[in-house]
Amino acid sequence: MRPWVPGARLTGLLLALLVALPAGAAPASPAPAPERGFRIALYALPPGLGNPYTGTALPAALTWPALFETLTVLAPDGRLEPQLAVEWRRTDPVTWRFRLREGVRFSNGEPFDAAAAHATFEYLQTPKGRTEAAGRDVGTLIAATRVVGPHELEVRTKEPAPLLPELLSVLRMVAPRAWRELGPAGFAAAPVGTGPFKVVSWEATRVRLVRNPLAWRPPRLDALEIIELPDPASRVQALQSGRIDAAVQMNPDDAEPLASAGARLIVRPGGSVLTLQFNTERSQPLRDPRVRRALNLGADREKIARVLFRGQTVAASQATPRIAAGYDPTLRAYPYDPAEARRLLAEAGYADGLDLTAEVVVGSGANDALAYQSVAADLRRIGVNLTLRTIPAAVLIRNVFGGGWRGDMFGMDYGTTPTLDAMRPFRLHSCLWPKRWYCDESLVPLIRAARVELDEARRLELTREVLRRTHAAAPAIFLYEVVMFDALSPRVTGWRNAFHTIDYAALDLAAD
Amino acid sequence: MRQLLLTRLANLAVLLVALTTLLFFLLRATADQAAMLAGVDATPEQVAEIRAQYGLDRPLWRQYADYMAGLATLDFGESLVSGKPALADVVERLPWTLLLAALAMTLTIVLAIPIGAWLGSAQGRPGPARRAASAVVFVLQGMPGFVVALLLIEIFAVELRWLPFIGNEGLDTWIMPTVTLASFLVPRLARVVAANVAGALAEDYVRTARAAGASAREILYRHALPNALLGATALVGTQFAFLLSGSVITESIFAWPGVGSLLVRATQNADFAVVQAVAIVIAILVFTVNAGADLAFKALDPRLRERRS
Repeated sequence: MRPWVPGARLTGLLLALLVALPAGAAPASPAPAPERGFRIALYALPPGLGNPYTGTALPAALTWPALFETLTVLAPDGRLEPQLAVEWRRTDPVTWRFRLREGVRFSNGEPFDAAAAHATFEYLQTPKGRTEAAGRDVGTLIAATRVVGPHELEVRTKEPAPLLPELLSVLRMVAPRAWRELGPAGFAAAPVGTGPFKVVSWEATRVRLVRNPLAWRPPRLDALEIIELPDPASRVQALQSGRIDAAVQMNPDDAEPLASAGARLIVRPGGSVLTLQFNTERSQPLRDPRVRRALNLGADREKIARVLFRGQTVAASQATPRIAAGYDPTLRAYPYDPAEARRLLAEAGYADGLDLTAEVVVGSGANDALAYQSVAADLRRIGVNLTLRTIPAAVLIRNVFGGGWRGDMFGMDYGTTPTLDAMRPFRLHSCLWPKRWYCDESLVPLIRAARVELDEARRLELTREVLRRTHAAAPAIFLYEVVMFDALSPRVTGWRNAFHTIDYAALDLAAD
Repeated sequence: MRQLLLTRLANLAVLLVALTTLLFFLLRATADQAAMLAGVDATPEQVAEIRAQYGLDRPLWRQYADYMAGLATLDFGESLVSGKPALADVVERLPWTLLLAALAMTLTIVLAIPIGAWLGSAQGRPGPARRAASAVVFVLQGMPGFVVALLLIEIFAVELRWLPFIGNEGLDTWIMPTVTLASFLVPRLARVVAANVAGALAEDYVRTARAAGASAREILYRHALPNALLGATALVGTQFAFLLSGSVITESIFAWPGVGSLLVRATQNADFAVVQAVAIVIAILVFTVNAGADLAFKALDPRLRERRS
């Protein structure tokens, strides 16, 4: 019997249907990006759209610098630089004066002055503002703000706040009239800031922006598209195919495929240390410092830095990265010494080994899953059977606030941004946290004193003392200094990404 | 028919109540929405304040009762993350997911039926071409969607640079997501059609037609294939749910602005109202398509019509 093959007419009809169906439902194709346009792919757009009060960290921090500016800004090397404030000084232990940049206007024409800055601070004092992410640090710290002159703002804090200027590097200035008239939801869809670009449309998976003609730092480009591309492999392919100019949150292993397309991978510090944090409140074996030290000696951190990160980061020697204020260069990372680790375990009564569980969130940092697996493999060699249990970030956050941990340890970083202060993570990782997982009472007075100490040298000494004692007590396996990888097409110039704040005004594309 | 519709509607109502109840409690058991909103840098006092502000500190049963009362008036709640009504987000994105599903389904039918018919018409004597095609279909059936997507992008966007693949920017950006989604279904449908055609060709009525002098093409086209397609109709209906679940991966890879990518983002942000709205809308859609397929099946199959009468 002769096989049946669909007739040409039928095939043609079905193909015509296939083409006609989308054509009928198609929207008008948007115009292609202008010639001087730049496309950047992020793993997520800000969940709160263009409302800058709703977040201070990733992923929003990557998008908002195109639209909004802050009084101060961190440079890639950790120095604090002026942005909308040109200078600042402390006039008494709880009062700061900020002199603001003159001649700055928001993208809707409103002037940026002390009154506008005051309005931003004032919102954070309202019941709604107090619960916004931007109000977490600043809102709770500020007692009052006062307009001293057209371009001079006084900020009073509830307690001495030596790092207030650093904290203000994540408080984005909002156009007060637009905020008042549009309301939070309206403003989120049509945000107004002093940044180099302004929004044309905020779509489901992309934001289209054009040059803000009123920007005091005019951008070099005419247009910008920020695209949500959650899949890391898609971001690599988008760069390889020339569809985008830059992407962030890449992996060190992307270097080769990117190089084949002429793109380059650059590394920047993340301002934190990834750890496997011990839960000594829950885990009996981990209450013994010998066991904690043994686990640190049994994990080959150098291998992780050298192999998984291709030498682009270093094994963590302490609870803070080198870039943070207070880092103690005299502290050395626990060496990889399985024999000594086994000896300590035997001394603690675990000569036959022990079973432990770690709850980890994977995928939030480059190669984090591989790093955890590497530690588990190393620990097996000293008789510790570490089971890795992957949990969603939502569960980690729920557990941080509500307890409910089900493991002996969990993966979590010691983050120092935005203040780049080594003492910052100790609010969480100490007895000060209500649902604490590790507590050394002797550190509490030091942590409290460092937080309000105005003398910088003294504050750094207090910080180093905390770091030294923490190093000795080993409340976690300090794995490595977190680094971030950005990928750029060969044409990109002026790329500057300091702790997730991309300087969109400086971005440019070289001619082909 | 009326009785059937009423039964289906009653089933849908029960399904929706069960789904919303399960989702409501499951989501709240796995994440603390106030803590997610506050972030890990917040203080417990700030989390408590957020909880009070959004009424998350009320007893769970009361929150559930309010949610169900809202649903009765099509109020799906508000996204605590974006501040927008949850249903508005879903409605804004749903057409793009449906478009992708319709395109993929069309492509599936266009490809799978002829392939299946050709494979099934071998009558136990497949040549090398059919053997090779069967193997390809078999392998494709086991290939995950994201692998297909990444391969397509590698070939057509990276190497050949023929097609764009980011977002929804015109007809050419529809091609790869459509093919990826269709890759879920084409092998399945082709194998079902092939098996049905092979079965039909062994039936008495085919032997009778052949004895009466019908050509091979006529036998296949007029007698075997229509019968084989009856089973396939039911499969197309049930596979619609697969298409929507496949859209979660496909939309994330291609930055497609549909409900799949919305669901991923809402889940990551513990945006319960949006997760619930997406789930309910998808459930209604899947149910409707399945019910439609059932009705079509009954309308197409004279045996079922006769049985009913």
